[in-house]
Amino acid sequence: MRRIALTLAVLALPLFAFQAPPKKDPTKPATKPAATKPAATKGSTPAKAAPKPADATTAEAPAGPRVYVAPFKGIWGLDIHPELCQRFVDDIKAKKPDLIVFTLDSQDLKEGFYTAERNEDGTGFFDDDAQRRMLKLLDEELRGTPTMMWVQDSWGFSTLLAFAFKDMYMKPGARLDGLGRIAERYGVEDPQVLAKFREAVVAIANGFFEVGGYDIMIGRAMMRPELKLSASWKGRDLVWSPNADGTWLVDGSEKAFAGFKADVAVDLGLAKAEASDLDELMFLQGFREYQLVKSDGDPNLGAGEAIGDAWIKEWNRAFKDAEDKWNEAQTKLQLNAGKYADLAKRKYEEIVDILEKNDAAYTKWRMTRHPDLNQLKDQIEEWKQEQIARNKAKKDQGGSGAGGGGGRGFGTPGG
Amino acid sequence: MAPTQAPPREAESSVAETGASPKEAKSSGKKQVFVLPLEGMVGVQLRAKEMQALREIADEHGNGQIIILKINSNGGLVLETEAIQKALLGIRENHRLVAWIEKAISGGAFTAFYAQEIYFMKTGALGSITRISGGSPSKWIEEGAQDWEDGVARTCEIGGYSPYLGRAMVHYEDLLSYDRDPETGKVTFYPTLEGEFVLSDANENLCLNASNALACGFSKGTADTLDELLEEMGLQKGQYEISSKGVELFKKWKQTGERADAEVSKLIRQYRLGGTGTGDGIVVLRKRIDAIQKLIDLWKRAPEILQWERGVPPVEQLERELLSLQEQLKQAQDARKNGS
Repeated sequence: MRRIALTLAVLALPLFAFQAPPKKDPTKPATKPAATKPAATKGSTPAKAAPKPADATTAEAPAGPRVYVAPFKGIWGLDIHPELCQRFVDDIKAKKPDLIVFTLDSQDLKEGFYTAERNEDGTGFFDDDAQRRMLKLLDEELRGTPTMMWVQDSWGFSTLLAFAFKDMYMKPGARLDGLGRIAERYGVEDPQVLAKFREAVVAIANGFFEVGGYDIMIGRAMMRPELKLSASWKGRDLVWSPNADGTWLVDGSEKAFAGFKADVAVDLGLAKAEASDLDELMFLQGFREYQLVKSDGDPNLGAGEAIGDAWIKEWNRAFKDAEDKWNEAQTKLQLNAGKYADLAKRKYEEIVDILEKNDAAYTKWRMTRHPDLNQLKDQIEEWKQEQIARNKAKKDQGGSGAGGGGGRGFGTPGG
Repeated sequence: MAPTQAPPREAESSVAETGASPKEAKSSGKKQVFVLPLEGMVGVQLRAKEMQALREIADEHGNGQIIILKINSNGGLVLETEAIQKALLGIRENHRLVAWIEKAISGGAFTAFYAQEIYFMKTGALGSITRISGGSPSKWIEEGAQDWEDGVARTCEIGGYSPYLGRAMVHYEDLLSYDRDPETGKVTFYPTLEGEFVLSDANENLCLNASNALACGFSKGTADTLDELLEEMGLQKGQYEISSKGVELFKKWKQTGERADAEVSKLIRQYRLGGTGTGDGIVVLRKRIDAIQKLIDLWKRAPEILQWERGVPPVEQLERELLSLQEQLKQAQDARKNGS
């Protein structure tokens, strides 16, 4: 039966599909304005009163609010992972800070000596379900505690997370860019399928903009090269336009994705202000003094920093362990497959155990073109049967020990 | 994310989930609120069977119960649409049907149209209902494309939505714009670009977000939590009870599917390799027979997973294979008997 699907199969594209964003087809007519509600620009909103520490004036009381800094740093989808998010949330709920500062430092593209270069440490990948779960965790579990996002630098899918925060601050020089990577998810030829996939994946990604209260027109221009973006002031409000007609031109090209540097993001009200360090960020909140919530294990480290560092080390160690075992098994098998089959089987079993316990390590495992868990288990079973055969042969003292019929497909004549 | 100055919100639902029997619920005089999570591939994880089963449970409580479809799907099989239509129209006959959108792409969007009330989560997306082939690369299915578009448009009308919305979600050539009367708030959709607000031009396949769905009146409100949703729906606390039955139905099928998925991998491995190390053909045949019998049993419990997720051959083919293996086993046993 012919399978007719309404599936958004684009979301199942290979994980290692990092590629240059597709170029704009110059023959395509310009696209239309998005009919979103008029942008209520946050930059034009008068700053709200910063929360005051309850006992700021009491001499005995610790000075300033207790601030928990939770750093999202590294590769999106690996270093920045729902598991890390859960650990932050658990720790924050235990430590009950007055204010939470999430930081974001993630680049798929780094500024090189001459030009931008792909991050050699790895690039992020987009799993909308997992990343939406992350958002829900941050939103629902931390309600009642003020939160903010402080962007150190963001180029890639990570930029979605920044836009999920209403209160955003940026380091001078930081970027909000790289959402053109979303275009990797809709790079198909059939124009009907292209339109279906493109609008679906852009709308899914724009959900992050909705959470932060940003106009989805901004997201669309950041994810679709052919769309332009400009802004105009209407009284104290900034109104976004999907064309080059506004007072402030953000993206007048039909081939480029929109992106923002910190100073522009502040001017356009996406970010509230630039802050070079935590002291400045707290000062902007009206706090001359504050207490950084420290790690239980290491008082020299912030609690969030310790958790973030531990997570990155943990999953990288798991991946490295798995890869070391893999390399050892391959080396031995190349030397003498028969002699080292038992050792290879043990190594594969250990690899399966590691990868089943660590999702980030398994994600990187798949991104780096290793066999998946099922393939590993198949191979383990083959070796197991060979082992049984050898043992039997030994026991029979010279029996044949040959296995029979492995690898046969369904429906072939029995044998 | 919460702004820095946001006041603490009210505590989450104070309404305990109940598995109240129909008798108990009737005596309390409260409406039952059933939340049915619909996640995964339409026709595989997201099935009409759970909708039908929940309808029967709701019917036991009498007319006027509230059924919320919490949709998170990238779409799936066109084959399931008829069964979904039947189940959801059945629910609507006696109960209030609501769709709550986390992600409703393609077949997920189609499913939502049957609800006369649609609410979005802030992250929600709904649309992109173009019919495509499931292979790789995906292709638009031109044959019957207009019939499909007409069908989606009719489904929109069944839910009380403009058919132009559905058409713009099917093919990019279909235009969509709207005007909103500043006094009455009444929205008028146009299959052209004449409206003040353009939702889809000649290049776009419509997929709505929470804000533009709300602005054009397609969505009745935005809610991230069940408490927020019930408030948006105008339900007063104390007037309803939240039943766990819908979630239980969903979990039961989800667990069955996950178990079947894991089991298939093991059984295929057993079929291919089981007993081969013994060098004994009879042992191998027994392992294979056992694997096939278990796969046939799985077919009965989770046919959608075996057919669409795992591509396991049809049950008839497995049964033929089973007969063949059993015959081979018999011959091998006879041969061994005679040989010994």
